[in-house]
Amino acid sequence: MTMKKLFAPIILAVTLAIVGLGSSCRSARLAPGGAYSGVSTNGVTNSVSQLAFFQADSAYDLAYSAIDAAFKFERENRALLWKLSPDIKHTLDKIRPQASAINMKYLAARAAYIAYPTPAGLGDLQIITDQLRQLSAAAVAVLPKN
Amino acid sequence: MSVAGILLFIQGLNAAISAAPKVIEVVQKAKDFITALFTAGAISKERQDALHLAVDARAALAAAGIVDPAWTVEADPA
Repeated sequence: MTMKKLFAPIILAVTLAIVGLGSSCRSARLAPGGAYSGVSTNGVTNSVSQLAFFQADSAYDLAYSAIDAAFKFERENRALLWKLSPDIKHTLDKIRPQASAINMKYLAARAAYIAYPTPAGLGDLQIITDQLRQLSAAAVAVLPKN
Repeated sequence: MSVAGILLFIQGLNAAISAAPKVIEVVQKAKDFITALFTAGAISKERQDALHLAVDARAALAAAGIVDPAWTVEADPA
């Protein structure tokens, strides 16, 4: 199996995630008793915001995992990839600090949202998640295609 | 193919094999994500708790200042 075939599902997944969050299906719902089903907005339980928070965390988790896979793959195979092209490491090195900063930003915004859930806070999570997803797509795209 | 070419090919195969488990994990997360978006049913308590726990664990590591070396910029190979 080539590396292109291996990473193709990640590229597809990230693309679907980018498209998916903007067109989420309203029929999904959270089973009671779960970690996200108890979140309230200004003291009033709101199933839409609960689901949106779950989806934001889910999108974040996917984007983080895709970036993490790309970074680790490059690090574990650095000698080989360096021979193929030094640009692979150099491009990922530009993404690494940005990804770390956005990751910290998401975690801080998430902690703030859990402490005081507001629609604005949820919007922040979605915006930051979108930034992380764009970086994840860029990180995966730089990996060898063959 | 030269000896160097064969060695590079073998290294490539090893790299692909070592990447496979991580790719499978990401693909599973993608499936979960898509399911969460488009499922007609309820997202289970277990799924919710697992996601919350995973993100909480990542936040705890970040708060403790623990950074994965793969996320840091290291010196170029000699």
